[in-house]
Amino acid sequence: MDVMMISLRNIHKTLNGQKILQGINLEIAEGETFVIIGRSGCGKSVTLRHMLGLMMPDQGEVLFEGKDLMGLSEIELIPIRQKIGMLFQNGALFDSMNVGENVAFPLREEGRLSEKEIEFAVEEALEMVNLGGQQAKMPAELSGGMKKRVSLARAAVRKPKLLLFDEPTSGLDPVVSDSINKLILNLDKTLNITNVVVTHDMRSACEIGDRIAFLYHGKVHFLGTPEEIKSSQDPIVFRFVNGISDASVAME
Amino acid sequence: MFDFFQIVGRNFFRFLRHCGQYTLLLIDILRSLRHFPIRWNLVSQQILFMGVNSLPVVILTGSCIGAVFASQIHLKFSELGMGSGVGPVVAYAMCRELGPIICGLMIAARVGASISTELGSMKTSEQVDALRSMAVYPTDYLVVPRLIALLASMPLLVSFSIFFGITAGYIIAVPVLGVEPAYYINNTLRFTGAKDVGVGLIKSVIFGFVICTICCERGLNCGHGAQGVGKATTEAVVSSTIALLVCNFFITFLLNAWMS
Repeated sequence: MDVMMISLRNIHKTLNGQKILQGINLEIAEGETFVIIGRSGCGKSVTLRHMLGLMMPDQGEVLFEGKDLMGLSEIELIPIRQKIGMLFQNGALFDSMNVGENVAFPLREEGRLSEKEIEFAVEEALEMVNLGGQQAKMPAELSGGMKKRVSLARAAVRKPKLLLFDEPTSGLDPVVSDSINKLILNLDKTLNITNVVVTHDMRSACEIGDRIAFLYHGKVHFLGTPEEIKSSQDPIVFRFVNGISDASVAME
Repeated sequence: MFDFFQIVGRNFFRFLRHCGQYTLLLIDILRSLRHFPIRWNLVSQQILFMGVNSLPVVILTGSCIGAVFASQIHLKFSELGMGSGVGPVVAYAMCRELGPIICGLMIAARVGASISTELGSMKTSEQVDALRSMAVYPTDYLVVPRLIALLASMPLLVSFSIFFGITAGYIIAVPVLGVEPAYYINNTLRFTGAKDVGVGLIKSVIFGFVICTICCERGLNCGHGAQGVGKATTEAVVSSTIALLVCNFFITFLLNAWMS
């Protein structure tokens, strides 16, 4: 049996009186690229935030390498978060720091490497995202795609065990989206990182995912391989995969 | 009528929520100080921004207040033939009240607004979550260095405010309004002492604490988007200003009782 990197068991979460997650169950194996898809507002990002302990469930368990995150304080979560990286939807780069400082930030915080080694690791990470030599640029000078790539370099520079991606290709043109997808695949291959990707881009999901979970109304409605989801005859999944709107669904 | 109670009730609960969030932040600061070493590099950066860069505005406001105050006091004191009494009154007021309060208000406006805006926009753009995701404790990184920097800067800023206020008072009273300098200086030194300066400095540290913690709390708990950041900044400046004035009232009574 595969070793589980992260498990979500019966996760419930209510935000501002609205039930966002209503019993999510997910088991993500080590080395896997797992994609979570679903319509906007279905709880994809909230699910991702639970994996990092940025949100705690009202009910249920989040197990990272078998350890339950529920009830851990922010300080107790620090050693766990050191093994996880996250790419935020809008990059979340520190706008007071340049690109190099942003990418170096997690390494400097870790305090394990010398400045020379950090400089080398930053250059390597930026080369990986095709932004070598751009250390001096400020986030405000970067395009959306470049911000995401820098953010990806920052998330991956520490070579975490688990990388979480929140909408890595949203708002990007197809060519840049494809380059991001290739980077995710490359990370999977070269560093054997477990990836969890939240997206509503079906093309990306099928290209990078080993398995895909489709969330609907706060629950996992469908779980399978890209081929299985593409050939699914379930009407809700079918409509999502093929981008078909439905008046009755739109009213919900 | 129902609307009135609804508004009062809503604001009351909002106030309670702020008090709760403020208390949690104070606990968090203590927790952070206990678990993490102080980031002196960030403290020095903040001292530069909060302290050194605030000096011109603090010197200017302190000087203006000292000058105007001397002029007003002289107007009445000269009628009584007590022109040289302007010196001690200006010095006493600058040390105990005007220096710390004017400096506190300027810092609340300049530094407090900047703290809440910066932290608020960091929160809305997920930078605070990014810190957490990189195993950094946000209070340790964002709040503690600012707090230590402001606690260290405020006594210095208030000292400048007092010094320039008294100097400006002297310039107005002696060369401009013709008060006898020997009497002016003698009376100032006779009626103003280290105790008065001490009161001002104690107040400055407390004001620094109040401004920084309130503005950090508002910034870190701001609402969504640009509107949320704007609202948080307004609330931070208004709340810290009011808190500063209320604190000043109680500190004055306590210190007067203690030192008398």
